[in-house]
Amino acid sequence: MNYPAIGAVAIFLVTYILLATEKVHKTKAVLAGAVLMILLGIVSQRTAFHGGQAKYLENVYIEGIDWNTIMLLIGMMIIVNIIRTTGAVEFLAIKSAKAVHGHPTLIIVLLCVITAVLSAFLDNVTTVIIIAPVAILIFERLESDPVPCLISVICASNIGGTATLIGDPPNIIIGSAARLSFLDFLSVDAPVAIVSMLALLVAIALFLHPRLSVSQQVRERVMEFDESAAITDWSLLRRCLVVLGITLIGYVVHDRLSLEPATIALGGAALLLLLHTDGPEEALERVEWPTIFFFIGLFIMVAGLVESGVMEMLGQGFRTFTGGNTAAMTMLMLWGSGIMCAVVNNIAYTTMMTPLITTIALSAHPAAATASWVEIYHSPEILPLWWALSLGACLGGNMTYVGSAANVVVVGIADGSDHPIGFGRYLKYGVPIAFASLLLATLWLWLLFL
Amino acid sequence: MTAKDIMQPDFVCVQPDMPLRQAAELMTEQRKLLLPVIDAEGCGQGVLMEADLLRVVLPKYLDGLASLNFLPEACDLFDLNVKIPSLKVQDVIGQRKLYTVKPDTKAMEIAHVMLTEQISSVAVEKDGKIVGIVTRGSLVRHIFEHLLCEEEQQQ
Repeated sequence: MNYPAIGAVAIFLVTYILLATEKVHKTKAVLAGAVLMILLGIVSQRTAFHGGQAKYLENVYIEGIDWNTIMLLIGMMIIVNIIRTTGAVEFLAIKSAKAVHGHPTLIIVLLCVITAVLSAFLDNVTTVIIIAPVAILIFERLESDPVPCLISVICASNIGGTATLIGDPPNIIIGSAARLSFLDFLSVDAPVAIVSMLALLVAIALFLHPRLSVSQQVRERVMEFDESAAITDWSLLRRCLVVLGITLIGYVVHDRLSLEPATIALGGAALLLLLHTDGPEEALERVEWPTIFFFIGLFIMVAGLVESGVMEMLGQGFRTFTGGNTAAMTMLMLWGSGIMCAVVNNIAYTTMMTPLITTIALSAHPAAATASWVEIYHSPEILPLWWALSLGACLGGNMTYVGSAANVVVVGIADGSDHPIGFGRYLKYGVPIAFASLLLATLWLWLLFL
Repeated sequence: MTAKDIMQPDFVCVQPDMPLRQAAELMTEQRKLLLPVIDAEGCGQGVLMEADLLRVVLPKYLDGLASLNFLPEACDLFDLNVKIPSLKVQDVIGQRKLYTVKPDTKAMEIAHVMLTEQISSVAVEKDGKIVGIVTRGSLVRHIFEHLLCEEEQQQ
C-alpha cells in the first residue's frame, strides 16, 4: 500500500471508531475526517467538492460530494417540514383507529400500512416521529402496552422506505450513483416491500392478535379522539397535497424528462414555499442539517478511499472472494449488507459500497475504456448488485433497534414515555422480520436476474 | 452602574431536593417565570422554569405533533396523581444553565445577555456563590431612572 492509501484507511478507521462508539457526534467525526483527507492531499479539493477523473486510476470518475443526493434530501425535508405542520398524519392515524372502533390488532395493521406508505413517499423519520406518539396516546387510552405497535411501526417504516427511490437514504444514494430511476425502484424494490409488508401483517395477525384483548367498553374510548381537530390549517393542507401530487408525478416521469430526482424534489420544495404564506425560515431551519453534513463528510471521505486506490483493492478482494460469479456476488452483497446494516449506520455503509460496485463494474467489463456508461454499470453482471445493496441496506435496518434512523427515533420516543422498548425485546420481533424480508429479496433477485 | 448596584441580595430560590409541588406553589405565589436552583452550599445548580413544570404534564416526545387539539377533553393520560408527589426539583430542571454575571459586570452587558439569550434574570456570582439576582424589571428600572436623573440634572 502506498502512503495515500495507508492515510485514507487510517483516517477512515479512526473516524469509524469514533462514530461507532458515539464518543463524538457522527457529523463532527466525518467532517473532521473529510477535511483531514483533503489537507493530507489524499483527495484534491477539486475532486472532493466537484468530482473529477481519478489521478492514478484509469477510467475512474470520482463523484466527490454527490449533490443529487444532498439536494434531493434537502428538497424532501422542506416539503415534509411544511406538511407536518398541517397535522395530516395525526389525522390519518386517529381516523384509522376510530374507523376500526378501537380494535387493537386492526389499529396496529392500519398504523403499519399508513407508516409504510408515508415512509415510501415522504420520509421514514418524520413519519415515525408523528405516528409513534399518536400510537402511544391511542394505546394508553386502550390501557394496553404500546410496545408491540411501536415495533411493528418501525418495521413498516423500514419496509415502506425500501419501496421507492426517495423512501430511504440508501436508495437515494444508490439511485444517484447507479442512475436508476424512480420507476426502476418501483419495479424491483417495491414488489419485495409489498410482499414483506404482507408478511409483517400476517405475523401481526398470528402472533400479536391473540395477546391483544381490550373490552368493548374500553375500545369505545378511542372514539373520544377528535381527528378533525388535528388539522391545523385546511387551506395549507390542500396546497401541500397538490404540490405532493405534482412532485410524485414528477418522480414518475423524471427519467423520461431527463431530470434528476433532486430537481423534482427542489422544484416541489420551491413551489410549496411559494404557496406557503409564512416565510421560508422555519421550513429551512428544520432541515436536518447535521444529517446533510454527515452526508457531505462521508462523500469526501469515500472520495479519498477511491482516489487512493483503497476502493479498487476492496473491489478486487470482493471479486476474488466470490470468484467473480454474479450470483455469489449478489448474495454476498444482499446478506452482507443486511447484516452489516443491522449494526452500522446504513447511510455510511451505502456511501462506501456504491463506489465499490462501480470499481467492480469497471474491472469486470472487458472493454471499460470504450463502453458506454450504461453498458458498464447496468450490465447483467452488475445490475443485480445495485439492487442487492439497496434491499440489503434498507431491509437489514429492521434487525436491531439501532439499524436505521427511524428505529433510533422510535426507541427514543418510547424511552421518553413510560414504555421503553428494550434491546432484547426488539430483537425478538426485528430479527425474524428482517430475515423473512431478506429471504423474499433473495428469491426475487434470483427470479429477476440470476 | 454594575450588577452589584442593581441586584437584589434577597431573592426567592429553590433547593434541588425541594418537592416539586412546593416549588410550583412558590413560583405561582411569587409570580415568577423562573426560580434559581441553589444548593445548600449556595452554589447555583440551574433554573427551574415554568416550562419545566409544563414538561411534567407533557412529555417531550409529543413535541413532534402539529397540535394536540384532537385529545379528548377529559384526558388524564399521564398519571399525574401518581407521578407528581414523588418528584423533586432536581428531577425536572432542564439542561438550561443558570446564567451568571460577576458583581462588576456592567449594566449594558447584562442587558445584552438578557436580550441575546432571551432570559428574564441573571444570577450574580461571587467566589462560586450566588449573592444576588438581577431581574429584567430591576434592570429596566435602574437604566431608566438613571437616564431620567441625568436628564433632570441637565435641565
